[in-house]
Amino acid sequence: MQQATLTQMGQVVILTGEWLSNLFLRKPELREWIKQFNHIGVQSLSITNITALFTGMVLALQAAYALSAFNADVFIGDLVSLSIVRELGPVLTALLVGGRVGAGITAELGTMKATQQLDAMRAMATNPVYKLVVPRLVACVICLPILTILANFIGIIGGLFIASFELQIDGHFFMGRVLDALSVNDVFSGLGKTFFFGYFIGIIACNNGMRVESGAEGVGIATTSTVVSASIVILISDFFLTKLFYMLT
Amino acid sequence: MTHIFKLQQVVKSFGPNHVLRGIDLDIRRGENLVVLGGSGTGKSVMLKLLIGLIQADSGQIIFEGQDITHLAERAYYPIRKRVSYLFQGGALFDSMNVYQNLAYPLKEHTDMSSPAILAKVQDALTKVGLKDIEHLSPSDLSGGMMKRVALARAIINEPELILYDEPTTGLDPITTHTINELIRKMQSDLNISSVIVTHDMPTVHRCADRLAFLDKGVIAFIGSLEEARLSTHPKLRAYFEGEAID
Ligand SMILES: Nc1ncnc2c1ncn2[C@@H]1O[C@H](COP(=O)(O)OP(=O)(O)OP(=O)(O)O)[C@@H](O)[C@H]1O
Ligand SMILES: [Mg+2]
Repeated sequence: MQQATLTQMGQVVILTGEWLSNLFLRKPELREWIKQFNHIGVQSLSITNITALFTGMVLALQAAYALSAFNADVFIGDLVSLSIVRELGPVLTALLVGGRVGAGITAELGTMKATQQLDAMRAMATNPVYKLVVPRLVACVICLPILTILANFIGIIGGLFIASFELQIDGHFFMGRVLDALSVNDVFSGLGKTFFFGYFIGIIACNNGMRVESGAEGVGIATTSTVVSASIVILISDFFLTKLFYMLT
Repeated sequence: MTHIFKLQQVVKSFGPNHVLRGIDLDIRRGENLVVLGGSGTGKSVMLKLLIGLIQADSGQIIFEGQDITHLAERAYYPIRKRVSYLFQGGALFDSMNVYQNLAYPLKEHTDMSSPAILAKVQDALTKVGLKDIEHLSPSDLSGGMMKRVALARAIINEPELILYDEPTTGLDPITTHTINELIRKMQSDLNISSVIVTHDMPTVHRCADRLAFLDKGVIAFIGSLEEARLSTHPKLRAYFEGEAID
C-alpha cells in the first residue's frame, strides 16, 4: 500500500513535468480545450450550484439554532459567509467535481488505454499527454476556481433566502453583515486553494486512467481509486493549504 | 535488397513471462514478410517493439542502419511517420467518427486542406471496400468494418512499411480477398513493404514473399513460401497440412 502510494506520487510528478512542457512549449489545441471546459466546467454547474444553495440554506438554519442560544442571531450572516467562502464552497465544490469529473476522466482515458487507443496515438507519432492530458488538466485548474466563485455566491444567496423567509431577518441587514465579515483575504484564501484542488483532481484522474493495465475491471478499479484518492488528497491538502494561506496573510 | 529493420537477439519478458527469447530477423525493403505463430507467442509484441511502443530487454533493433532499441519517445516519431501499424483490435478512436479517425494522421502531420483530406479519406475507404460511412462512429460499425477502417487509417498516409496485426482475421472470404489484393497492390504500385501477422492461409499464399515462423520465443523458421511448404518443423507443417485437410 505504502509502496503503491509512493509509486503513484512518482508517476504524478513525471506526468506533471510532461504536462507542463507540453502546455508551455506547444501550441494549444483550443478546440479541444473548449470541449473540455464544457465537459468539466459547464456541465458541473448544476451539481455544484445545487449543493452550494442547500449548504447555504442549512448553514443559516444551523447558525440560527446555535447562535440564538447566545442571543447572537445578528451574526448569522457572518457565520454563513465565512464558512462558505473560506471553507465549504471550495471544498464541497472540489469534492463534487473530483467525483464527477475525476471519475469521468479516468474511465475515458482508462478505456482508451485498455483498447490500445493511447498506443494508436503514439503509433501515429502523436503524444497522448499533449492530446488528452493537457486540455483536461487545464480545464480542471481553470474551471474549479470559477465554479467555486459561483458556488460561494449561490451559497450566500441560500443563506439570505432562509434568513429572510424563515428567520425574519432583514435582507439588507443580512447582506450588510456578509459584506462586513468578508475580507479580501478570506476570498483569496478560499479561491487560492481551488487551483490546487483542480490540479490534484486532474492529475490523479489522468494518471490513473493512463495506467490502466487490463480491460473493464481495470477501468473500474482505476475509477474508484481516482475518486477515493482525489477526495482524500483534497481534504488533507485543504488543511495544509489553509494553514499556508493563513501564514501568508 | 536493403534492410529496413534488422533484429538481433531481441529479448522481451513481462515479469516471469519470457515472451521473446532472442529474435533474429530482417525486414527487407519491397518485400512482404508474413509472420506465423501460435496464439500468445509474441507476434504482436514483436511488432510493437519495432516502432518503440514497448522496449526490448536486450538485443538490438536496427532501423536503416541506426540502433533504435532504446530511444526517447520523441525520437521514435520520425520512424512512426514512415511505418504504420494496424492494431489487432483496430484501436479506432471511439470519441471520433470514421472521417476524423482517418483524417487524424493527415491533420497531425501534413498541412493538407480539408477538401484534400476528405478526398484522401474517401479514397482510402474505397480501397478497403467501404463507402459512405464517414459520419458513423466506430461503435456503429461491425467488427469487420472496424478492422477495414483501421486498415484504411494505416494506409492513408502512404507509409514505407506497414505492420499488419491480423488484417483479415474474422473477415468474410470476399473481403479477405480484397484486402489481400490491396496489400499486393500497394507493394507493386507504391512500393510499400509489409509485415503481416496472420493465421489466415489464403493471405499467406497471396501475400507472402517470405515467411517467418515464431515459436517458443524464437524464429523457428524463415524462408520463402516454397521452402516453408517443405519444412519439417512439425508445428509449421500443421499450418499447411491443416489446410490440405480442409
Ligand atoms: N503489455 C503487456 N504486459 C504484460 N504481458 C504482455 C503485454 N503484452 C503482451 N503480453 C504477453 O505477451 C505474450 C504474447 O502476447 P502477444 O499479444 O504478442 O501474442 P500474439 O502472438 O500476438 O497472440 P495472438 O495471436 O493471440 O494475437 C502473452 O502471453 C501476453 O500475455
Ligand atoms: Mg497478437
